[in-house]
Amino acid sequence: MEKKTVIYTFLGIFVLIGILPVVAMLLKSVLSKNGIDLSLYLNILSNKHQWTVFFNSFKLSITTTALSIAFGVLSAILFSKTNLPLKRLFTFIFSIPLFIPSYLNAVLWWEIMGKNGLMSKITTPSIAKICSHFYSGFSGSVFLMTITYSPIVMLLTMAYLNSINPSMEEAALLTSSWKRVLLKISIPIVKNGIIFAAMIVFLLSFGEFGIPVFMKYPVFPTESFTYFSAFYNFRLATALSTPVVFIILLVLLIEKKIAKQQTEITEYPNAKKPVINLKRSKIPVFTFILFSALMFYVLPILLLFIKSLPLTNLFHTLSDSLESVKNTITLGLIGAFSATITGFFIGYGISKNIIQKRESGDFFTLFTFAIPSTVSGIGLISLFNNGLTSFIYNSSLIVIAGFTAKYTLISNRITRIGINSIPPSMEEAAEIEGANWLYTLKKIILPLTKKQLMASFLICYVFCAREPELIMLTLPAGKDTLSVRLLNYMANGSESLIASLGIITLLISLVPVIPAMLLLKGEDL
Amino acid sequence: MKKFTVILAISLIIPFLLNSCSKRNREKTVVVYVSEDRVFSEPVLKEFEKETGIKVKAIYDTEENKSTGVMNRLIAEKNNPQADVYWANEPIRAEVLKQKGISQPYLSKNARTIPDKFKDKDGYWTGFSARARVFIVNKNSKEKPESILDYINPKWKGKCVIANPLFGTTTTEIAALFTLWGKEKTMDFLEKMKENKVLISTSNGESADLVAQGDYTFSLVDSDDAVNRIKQGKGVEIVYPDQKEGEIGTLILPNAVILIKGAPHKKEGEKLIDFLLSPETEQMLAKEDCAQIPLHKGVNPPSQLKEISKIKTMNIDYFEIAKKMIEIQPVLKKWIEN
Repeated sequence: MEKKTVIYTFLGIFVLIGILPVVAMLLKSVLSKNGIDLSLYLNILSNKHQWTVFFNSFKLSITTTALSIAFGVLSAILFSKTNLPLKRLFTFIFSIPLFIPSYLNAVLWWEIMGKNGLMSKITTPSIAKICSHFYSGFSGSVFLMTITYSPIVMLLTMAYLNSINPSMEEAALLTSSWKRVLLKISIPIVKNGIIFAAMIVFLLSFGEFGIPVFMKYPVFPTESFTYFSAFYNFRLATALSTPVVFIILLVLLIEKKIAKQQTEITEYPNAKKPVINLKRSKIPVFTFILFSALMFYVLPILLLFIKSLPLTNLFHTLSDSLESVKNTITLGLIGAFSATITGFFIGYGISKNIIQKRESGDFFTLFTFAIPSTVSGIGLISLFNNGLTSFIYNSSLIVIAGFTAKYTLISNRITRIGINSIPPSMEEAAEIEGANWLYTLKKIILPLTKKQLMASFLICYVFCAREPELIMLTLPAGKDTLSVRLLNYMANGSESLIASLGIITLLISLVPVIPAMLLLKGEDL
Repeated sequence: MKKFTVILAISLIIPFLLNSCSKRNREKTVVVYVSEDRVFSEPVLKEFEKETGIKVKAIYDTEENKSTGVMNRLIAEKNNPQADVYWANEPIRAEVLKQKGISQPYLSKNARTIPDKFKDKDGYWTGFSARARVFIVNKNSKEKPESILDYINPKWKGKCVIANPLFGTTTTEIAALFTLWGKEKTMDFLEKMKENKVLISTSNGESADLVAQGDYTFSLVDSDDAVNRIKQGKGVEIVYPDQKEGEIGTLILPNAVILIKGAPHKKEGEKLIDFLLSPETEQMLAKEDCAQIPLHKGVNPPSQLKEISKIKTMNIDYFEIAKKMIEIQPVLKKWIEN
């Protein structure tokens, strides 16, 4: 009884803050003075241009996802399975783009690849021309989005790889090479994790707006944005965001087709993990990874740091932005915590069949994740900006609600892996001994899902800390976060101010990583 | 279970209590939504705080969303407004809000000396500190453009750029042409622009950079974009379009301030509007990179720009432009798509 109450409470909260606002917006888009009016949707379907940009978005997100999987899985194997030197440092360096707002990333790479950028100064005019040509349109968008989103695949794959029962790999290694073990044992075991990461990257790339606009590549999200921003037509803008539903259904269909029902992942904290010895390839691989790290990850940050100099300028910006720093950390931590526990309880409900319709749970968590922030933000305003619930709308609770609705998916999926790996007999034994469910939760379930909870929390924090749109639409006046402040000042602000804010945003995004590492006491996530 | 219920109840009650406490301080606060760049508007609002002791709670817009985020918020909040004042960076948005019933009239005493053509006759918005739509021209070019019609002059084929007319001040410019020339002539102009291979950039800032880098010879941009590049030492200069006899003149876009209908802190909002419309504020906004042209007589313009009285300005009605803008958006969207 009490188990159900807790789970249904969280499910109810999710429906209230995640689904209802968007449903309210969708209803407005189909209702007119004369009743139900589907003409907007029919117009969208019959418009050739919409199909063209829809196809562009699809092509862009498929390519980005494929490349992110290739780079992400490869780097995950290198950094978690091999004896590559400095692999923890490389993991950190390769994750950096995830911590920076994508719009800033686009501008930074323009400083390198653009017509008068760094490449034009250190290479020949023809190479510079190729670089500048490459850094535009489809190729530029794919390049930047792959750099930005491949860390998601890398980190999730690493988390899954580190959870494989080492004895399985050791047994296989008795008769097979590492290459075969990876292809036949390790990768198939973590397949669900890679598919989940691919889903996230696909949906993020499909919804990405800032980078394609910067690269002048027409994509579907621009359509919805245009109707919000140029026409102030909320009905049409909402209608234009609904094709995401078809994308989600497609994603779920593919997932159902290729993902396995039950993962075999279980925690083996004390077991020694077998390591791939790179032998003679160690130095060339290390050199290649070092070059990639410096070229694609360190160089833009170095550029950002140089622009932020002198250090006094950086400190001055920091002292001016203390309130934004505080808001970013507080909202990020509370938002990540709220999304993590909501996702955990919904995930628990789905895993233990307390929430019967698993497919609906998956659909709606994906839906609130993929729907544009502008739609969910305006939905939250229309639902909560009234006399009765103004205490939510006039406080930071509204932002926490938005974060929870958007990022519940992350925790729901990740923590389900941990929940599924707990033998049901453990909970049953505790029940027979007379322990109530909250006690079982505290003593058995939470400790055994610690790593997944921590991973969800960290990923949610990073997403919350870099989110500008939802905050702009819902945060009470007089407050801001670093991502919003950064975008505010990108209009005519000095280069050094923008660079300093970029460095501070990056550092603040790393805030929970240190306590997380302390909590895990050096274990791999 | 009881514990869980108690925790849940407390977590809902605390924010409510905190909010109730903050309501008591409302009389000392003004909430303003700002589309003018934060780097320019924030110092002005801080000065207001210093002068009046009224706390300013602001929400600033971002370049990424084409400075329309706060407009969307104002529209979404219509039934229960949270903002007192909206500081728009051009008057068309103020007109749109008037037409949507989101603003209320306020005739500030400081608006008396602002020319009538830069304010709404009923007081729904008042203009101050303007930008001009000027040509930024690369100095390496021997010839200079003189009229907006140079966009369709074959001698400039492939050499000029304009920001996406679906957004911002370029939309206003095209809407102004629709009101002055009519639909047929303007559509012909737009089609000829395509034939003349005019590049469509993402923003005025990008257009200014493309000219400053020497990729293109000229572009219509906002005067602050041009002044900014001159201050950066780029080889560009400013040309005011259509200044000759019989030509249409230069489009002037003042900032506009409006009082929100149902503003929770109306008095403080009015004080802020008075402050923004004062000559002192115009002087602040004329300085540094902001480079806005004052509308009050006797306030010095930025050194790179002319006084408002010395510019031949476009003879337009902002109300008509706002109306026209909504009408032409689908046409412009189609033009961009094809």
